Amino acid sequence: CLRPVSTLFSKLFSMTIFNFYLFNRDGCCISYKEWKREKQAGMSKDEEFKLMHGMLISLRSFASKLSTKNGQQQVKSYETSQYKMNYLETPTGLKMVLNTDPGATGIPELMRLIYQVYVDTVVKNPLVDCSAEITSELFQSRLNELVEKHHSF
Amino acid sequence: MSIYQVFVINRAGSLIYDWDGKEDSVGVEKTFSYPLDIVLDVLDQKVTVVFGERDGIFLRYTVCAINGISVQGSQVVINGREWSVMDYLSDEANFPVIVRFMPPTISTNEKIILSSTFHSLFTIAAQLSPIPRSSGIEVLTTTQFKLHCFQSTSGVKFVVVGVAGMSGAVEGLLRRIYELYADYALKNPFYSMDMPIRCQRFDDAIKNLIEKHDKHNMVTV
Repeated sequence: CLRPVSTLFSKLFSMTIFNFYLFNRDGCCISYKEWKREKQAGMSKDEEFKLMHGMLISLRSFASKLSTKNGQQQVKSYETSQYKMNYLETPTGLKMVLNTDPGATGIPELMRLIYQVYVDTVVKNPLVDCSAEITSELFQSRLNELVEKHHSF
Repeated sequence: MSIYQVFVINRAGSLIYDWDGKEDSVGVEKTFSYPLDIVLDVLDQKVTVVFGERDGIFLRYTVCAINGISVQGSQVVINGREWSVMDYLSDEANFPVIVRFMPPTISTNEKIILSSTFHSLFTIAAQLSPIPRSSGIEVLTTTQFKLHCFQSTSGVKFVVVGVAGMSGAVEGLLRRIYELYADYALKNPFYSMDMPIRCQRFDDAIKNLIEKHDKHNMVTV
């Protein structure tokens, strides 16, 4: 019965990475991965991806309408009492979401690294269709490795 | 000013109070020759810059005057004739022309839309949580602002939007706004629940509170 102890530890150090979504510019979820997810959304994965993407789009339009400042407007993250949603959007429309504990550090850098992995293993591979779900095992394993070796994991 | 906006949103997601840090802006004026090197388009009945930032004119700026004559929506009356701004600016005979641009503003209508959007975002964030018993959005960080939200037990949301580098003292400010809401709005016998708050004393109290908060933050920084 090690589980309570480990959750206690993760609460104590408040450093965990829960799950990861990657959306392409058309809004299709091309990669999803979860490590320590304790609650499911209560709907099919397909619906959950749509809900997530819809929320990201609204969040972006909300943020850009609310701000009257000049220059580029980018949503970085939001925090609730239990988790933090970290968001990265590239100029090409690729959207990346990494849900972590609110106390996790170094997450924006980690997301840049994941993007680098995506470019190396998916974009640079001429045999992979960029608009479809990523089936590349290399991508999966390098993503796993990056996240599990991260100090916030 | 470190605080841009304060919103109070009721249980159903409609805006019942808003405070705005007024920033007076005169806009940017520039003389253009034909053809116009900024791409304009009509968005929400306003002629808006959609491409070609230059000389202090940025994206989302709107055309507010042409040759000193103010623009109504996307129409302008010049020499007794009504023009659509887009048509006027695409006619070579009207050049050179002096155009004044204004930075984007948030109208009351847009504030109402933004509050109900936030209300649903708040709920979805709780639903998509990977951890059980999560609250909705408490802090939203973007490159240009930081939004703090406090939801009272009765479901009323208090939202403060401020500069991106806003400190943690906002939590206290939100609690104080809640206190003022309880004192000045709820104890007012003429106030009906879930309706917009129109109360001079509440307005004044909020104004004082935010001024004090700004001053205090100035000292600590």
